[in-house]
Amino acid sequence: MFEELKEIICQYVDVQPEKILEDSRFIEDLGFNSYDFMSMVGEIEDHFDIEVEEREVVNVKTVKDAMEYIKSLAE
Amino acid sequence: MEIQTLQDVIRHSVAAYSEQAAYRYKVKKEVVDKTYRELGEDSMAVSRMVESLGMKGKHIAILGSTTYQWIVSFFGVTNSGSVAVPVDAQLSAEAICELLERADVEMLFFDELRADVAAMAAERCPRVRYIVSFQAEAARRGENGMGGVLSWEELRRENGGEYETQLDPDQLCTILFTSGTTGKSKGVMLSHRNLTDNAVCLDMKIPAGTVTMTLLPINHVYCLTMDIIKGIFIGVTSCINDSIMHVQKNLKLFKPDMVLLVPLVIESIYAKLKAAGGMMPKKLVAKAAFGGNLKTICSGGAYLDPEYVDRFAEYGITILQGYGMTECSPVISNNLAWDNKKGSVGKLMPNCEAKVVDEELWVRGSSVMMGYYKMPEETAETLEDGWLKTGDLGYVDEDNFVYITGRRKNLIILANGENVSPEEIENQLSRADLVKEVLVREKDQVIEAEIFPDLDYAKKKRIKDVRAALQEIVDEYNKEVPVYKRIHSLIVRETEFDKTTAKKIKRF
Repeated sequence: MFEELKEIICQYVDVQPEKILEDSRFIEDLGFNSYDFMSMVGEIEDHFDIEVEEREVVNVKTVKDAMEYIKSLAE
Repeated sequence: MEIQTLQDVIRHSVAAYSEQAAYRYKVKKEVVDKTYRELGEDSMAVSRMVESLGMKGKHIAILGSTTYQWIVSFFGVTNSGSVAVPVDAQLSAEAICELLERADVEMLFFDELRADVAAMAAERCPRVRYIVSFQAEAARRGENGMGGVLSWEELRRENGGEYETQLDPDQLCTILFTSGTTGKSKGVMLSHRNLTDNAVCLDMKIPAGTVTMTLLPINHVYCLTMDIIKGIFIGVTSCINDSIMHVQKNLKLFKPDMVLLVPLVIESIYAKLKAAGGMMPKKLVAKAAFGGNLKTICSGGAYLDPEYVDRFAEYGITILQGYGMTECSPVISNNLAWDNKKGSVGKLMPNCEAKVVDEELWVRGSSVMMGYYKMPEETAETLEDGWLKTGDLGYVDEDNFVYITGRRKNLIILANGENVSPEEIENQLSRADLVKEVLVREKDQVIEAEIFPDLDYAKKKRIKDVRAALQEIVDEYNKEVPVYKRIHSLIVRETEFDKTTAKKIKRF
């Protein structure tokens, strides 16, 4: 899942895939703005076939948070 | 027919566009249309609902993201002569309850996504007598100690029929909260005339049947006046974007001709267009991204770099930049496709005049607010003989085009159009004993805080890692506020800030 997520992230921000770590924070480390971040979540919904609750997204701060959140929804 | 109230707007449009779709939105995977006739009927049902509950003339809050029910409720409330109080759904339940109290709200319409607010309001806001859920299929009488939660749908069905009441164009129509430089948000009072004149006075030559997509927060006046009220007046079919997560997907689904955006979204979309481009012709790239019909983007809420106007023109899309503020309902000036100047934020609206006082732009006209709700001092500071002091530095040229050169107030205006008061955040952080002095500012479109810690306090409490302790304070603050108000970076100072002679921290 990490690799898939990295691929999606790279579509939204200008960052080398190898620079993306599990602990990377979307806004502070990867340079997302709030709109790009929400757009990416929309893409993640389609890619992993899940339905995300907008209000819960605010708790997703790092790549690891995102992976755990996706896993929790896919179960 | 003279259009002076929101009731006039609805009546005009029901008569003119009756069976045309007014709103289009997704319910699960299905796309649903609501005609202008239905919009008129449903808003009258809400007016009757308000009157039957004895709430006519009272202040009624509407809480939730953009939905058909939200829009119908807004018109139903205001056209009954009551006052609509739209509330930012991103705020914490505590913050919303505080606003409900300050705005003297007696009834609340809410989206179940904010059931936490409904529960808290029932407990903590003694003035609130009715709480109505947009989604509940039937009333839940026993849910709280004050008559339970009512069902919007049930009340709408029970209250069908014609509704008409005498409205004074100058009566209070809505209270909209906006960030204040004093640190406390202010309730901007707008009358029916304020809003309708702003929506109606400028003919943008947009034909009826134009498809738009609404995606800005509906509690903001730019969306409310330009997307909703103006959209209804000119007879557009407005498609409701269900979530900011789905903008790209919904643009392709609804294929709008026109959208209202804020600079943050325009800049992000441009970056995506550019990246997707490659060898493809630019107009084809735009077609793939926007569904093929998009010709016009109206930009407001914050300053947009004029270079984007040229960049989007290459993709066959016209950007019209405007300028305004909540206190002016909001539009003060607007560029039009056939009447614009690069670098200007547009020509003054026909109902607005301007003058420059000590470099600051002052405006006057029928869209200038009535004042701030229950804040006479702030109102007196902002309004002088009918002139609204914008807080922006600028000038108007010989053709009435407005140019903005800077700001007088400290307000931070983010690219998403949200206004953030540094003083408000500073006051909150200062409550922590460890924070001796603090300054908040914008950096790269997010918020940065610089703190000088109280080292005596740290010593007394044996705090070893002062930075970590300050970060904890910031993290606690961040948990309570909407995303745009969060502090993204923290600088810890080793020395006091430079002060002015009045012992205030020098901001710049």
